[in-house]
Amino acid sequence: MAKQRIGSIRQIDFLVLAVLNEGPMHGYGIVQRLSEMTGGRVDLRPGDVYRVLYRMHESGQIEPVPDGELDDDERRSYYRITGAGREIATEQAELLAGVSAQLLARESR
Amino acid sequence: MTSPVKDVAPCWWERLAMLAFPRRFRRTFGADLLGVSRSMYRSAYGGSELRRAADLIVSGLRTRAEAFFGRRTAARPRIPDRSPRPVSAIAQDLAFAFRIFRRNPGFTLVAVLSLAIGLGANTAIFSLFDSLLFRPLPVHAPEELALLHWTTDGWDGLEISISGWVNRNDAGRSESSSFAYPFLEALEESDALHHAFGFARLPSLNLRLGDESRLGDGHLISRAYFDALGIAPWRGRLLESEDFRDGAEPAVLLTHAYWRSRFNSDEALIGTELSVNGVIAVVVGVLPPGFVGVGQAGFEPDVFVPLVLQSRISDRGDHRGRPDRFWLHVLGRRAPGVTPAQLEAALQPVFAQSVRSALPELADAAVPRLEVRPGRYGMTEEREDLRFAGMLLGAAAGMVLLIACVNLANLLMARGQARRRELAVRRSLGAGGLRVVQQLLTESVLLALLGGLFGLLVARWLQAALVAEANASGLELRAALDARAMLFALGASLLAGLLCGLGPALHVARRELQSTLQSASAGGRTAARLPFSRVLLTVQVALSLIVLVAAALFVRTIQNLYRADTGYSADSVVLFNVDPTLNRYGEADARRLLEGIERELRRLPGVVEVGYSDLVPAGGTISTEGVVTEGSATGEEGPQSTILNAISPSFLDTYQVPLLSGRGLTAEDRSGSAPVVVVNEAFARRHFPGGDVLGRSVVLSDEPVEREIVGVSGDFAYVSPRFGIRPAVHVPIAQLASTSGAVTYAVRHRGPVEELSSGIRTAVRRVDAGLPVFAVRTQRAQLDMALVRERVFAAFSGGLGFGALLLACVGLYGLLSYSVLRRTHEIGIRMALGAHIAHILRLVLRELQPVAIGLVLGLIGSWFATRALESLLFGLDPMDPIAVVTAVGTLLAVAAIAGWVPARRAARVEPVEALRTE
Repeated sequence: MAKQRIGSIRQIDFLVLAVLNEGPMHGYGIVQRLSEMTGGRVDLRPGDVYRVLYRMHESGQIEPVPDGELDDDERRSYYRITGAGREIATEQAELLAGVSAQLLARESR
Repeated sequence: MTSPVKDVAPCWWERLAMLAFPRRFRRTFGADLLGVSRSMYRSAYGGSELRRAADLIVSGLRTRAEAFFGRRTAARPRIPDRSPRPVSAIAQDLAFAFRIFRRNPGFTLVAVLSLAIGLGANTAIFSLFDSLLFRPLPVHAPEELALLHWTTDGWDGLEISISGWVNRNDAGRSESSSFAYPFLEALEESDALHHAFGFARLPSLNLRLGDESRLGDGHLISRAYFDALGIAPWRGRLLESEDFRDGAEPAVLLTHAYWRSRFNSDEALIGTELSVNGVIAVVVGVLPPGFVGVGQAGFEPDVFVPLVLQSRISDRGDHRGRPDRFWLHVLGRRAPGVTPAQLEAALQPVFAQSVRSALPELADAAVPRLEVRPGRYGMTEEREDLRFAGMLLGAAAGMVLLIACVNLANLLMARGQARRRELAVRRSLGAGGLRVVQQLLTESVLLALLGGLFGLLVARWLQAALVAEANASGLELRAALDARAMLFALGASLLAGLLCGLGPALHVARRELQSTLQSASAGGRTAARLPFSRVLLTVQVALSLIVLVAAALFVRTIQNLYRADTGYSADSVVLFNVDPTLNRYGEADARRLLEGIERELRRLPGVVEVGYSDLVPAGGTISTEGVVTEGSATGEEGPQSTILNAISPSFLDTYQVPLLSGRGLTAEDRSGSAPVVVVNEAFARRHFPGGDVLGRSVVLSDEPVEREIVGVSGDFAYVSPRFGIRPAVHVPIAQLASTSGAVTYAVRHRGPVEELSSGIRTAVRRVDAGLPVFAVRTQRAQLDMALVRERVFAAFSGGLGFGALLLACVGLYGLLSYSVLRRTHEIGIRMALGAHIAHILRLVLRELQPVAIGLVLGLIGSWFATRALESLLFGLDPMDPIAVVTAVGTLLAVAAIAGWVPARRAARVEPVEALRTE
């Protein structure tokens, strides 16, 4: 049950940050968008999504959007990325991009 | 922060599952998660509630674990880090325990599931029987209620008629809780008993609203009833003094459940008219939810009717002026400080006087004695059966829990051994012995609590299954895992955790004092043998065998009951009931009605034969009558108790019961013609072993005439195969002055049952459109119903047996694999030195020795335990060889399977590999 981690954060946290970086989203939306982004390879159960959200909320990477700030579907709660979350996401993305480029270059040789 | 989510009301198990999450989580994400979880599972995962519950609980526990271990991601740059909380020893232990569980998912799963099986079975049985037996009535100060009984040692001169419950024990002592109305009146006038009140059951009432007739149950109640119980109306009003006056406008009260289920909680119903057996009564109010009178739990009334209506509703004469008719249950309140004995002394003269007014010549010694019993649970007599069943099932479930505990204890022992090095390190770093014990106990209690949590799910399923089975038999059970059941589960879990944790914890901690770090690595022979574990395994096998033997006995019993020769043909017979008295038919009209229905039924396609009668085989009731037989060879004077059935001429043909001699009953045997009977063979054998039966006469106790025996029929089992064949007398139904109300039709047919049952309703409607047809069922279903207790027992004990087997299997497997693991090194050396594989196998299988000892102990235990079951068995001994052999064989097979896998693993050990394992 080893956790997949990239640098200092887990892969799943990174993916959720990537989704929320596109804009505020509700729990169900996050699951769907994640599945879309990864071509169906990442399929989260509801319990797990919220476990991850809780963890990321506790560490200040995301936050719930207060009621009334969005005039979208009133029945769902939305979550958005915080400044700290965005910083981490960007940092990780750069790190991964660099490594991926090198790795793919080696593969294609 | 405001709650982000709206309009999701969690159901009971969701609320329970959400407890797995930390409180902080629930506050922010709880409701939102539930909403998403519902919609996602509905769309994506096939809507499985079970998987959804598992998902919630697992992720909740993982969330909690993450929070506990502080394994937050590294990045929290902007958030001021909270300083580490001061952690108590308990919290430290909890955190450590969770870490241990995470590292050993297999161990945790087995431990939790074992306990879930044991705890679930116990919780299910507890909550079912708790609600049936031990729940005080929902009334004001139930502990003050006193329930009156009377007992007598003989019936000499005690010529009273009793309806209701009478129990005669083997010593000739009889007891009853039925009293005459004049006694209640006398009590109401004296001040010996406060708030004296009475009630009587009114089963099978025709409750008609508009055109719709339904069958319901009622209670007739006396004036002081609601005052005494301190009940307030839910809607409308209660029955008041005015309603109990002769000639008052009839009034009726509904229970909340009936109001809700039949009338959809319609407020407008109050003030409307409801016909109760043809008596038009005004619905004056609805009782509060949960109040269903002080009668039998499981047999609950739908309506309450004032006593004054008794003669109009029940159509059997007015009982109120009759001191010799005992039919009312009487209760009252005991004043604080008055003991039951004092109350009995005060009430006895009132009772004696009431009996004397009916029987002035009764000898002093023959006057029954009054007894005061606690009334807080209401009437319990008919529940004695259930109490016994509950105790037996509870004992079996307790044994399964014990097996589960032993299992866990064993697992913990093994783990304790494996953790010797870790524990030794702790000790050497200064942890006290108590501290180590505390930590190990924390782990076991935590495991038990998790087991209890899953046990609630197990309990829920078990209960649903039990309730479905019981409801099919007409016993109304409610399955609710309420606060009491939860508390029970919690208590049982804690106890189980302590019970199975304490032994291993002490054992391991003590061992730690002797052994040191250097010896902890090799796992020497003493450690591998685990003597304590072997004792536990022995106990486990013994307990499992007892549960298995009991299960096998019940399964064999139910087989025997179904295979028993009943003497009649139950296939292709459909039964249904009608009750002419519901529509207030007079005697002659009722007879015409019954014959008319038979004619209509015979016209239906596929109908082969039609009969009707007072009793049907396996009908659950028999009526016995004192019958005086002229010239009986038994040499006994006076009436002898005999099964009496009033039958239509074709009843015996319908059941294909042969006529052995003489003639059967015909349509000519009607009122006015010569009184006749047909007896069964058992009757003939008993009274006339010489065979000279025909032409003799019998006198039924309530009739002044002699009836001639004109025929002898084959024997058949009236009650259930268990009760066997008894002497029976069949009287033409047309010759009895009054039948007892409901009549059962038996229709032998060809073709599908479904078509017939709709045909039956049409046929009856053609004769009387307002007469309810009820309880349409097949004779087979009737037999199932008569055997419901046995079926529930067989199903439940079979389930418990399976659970015990599963646990034993897990326990054996766990211990053997562990022992192989510990001895890999030794096995390697042996094999390197040239030991045969057979030798190694023998070495491993020798570990099964506790199984043999356990089997022997289990057999001895079964011998004692099954004595208690004797009264429930049929056609076999308590130590039935087939049942015992089956149980032992199954257990041995499971032991072999559980031993096989580790043994193979041992045999495959590569010596070089093994020597390298360190």
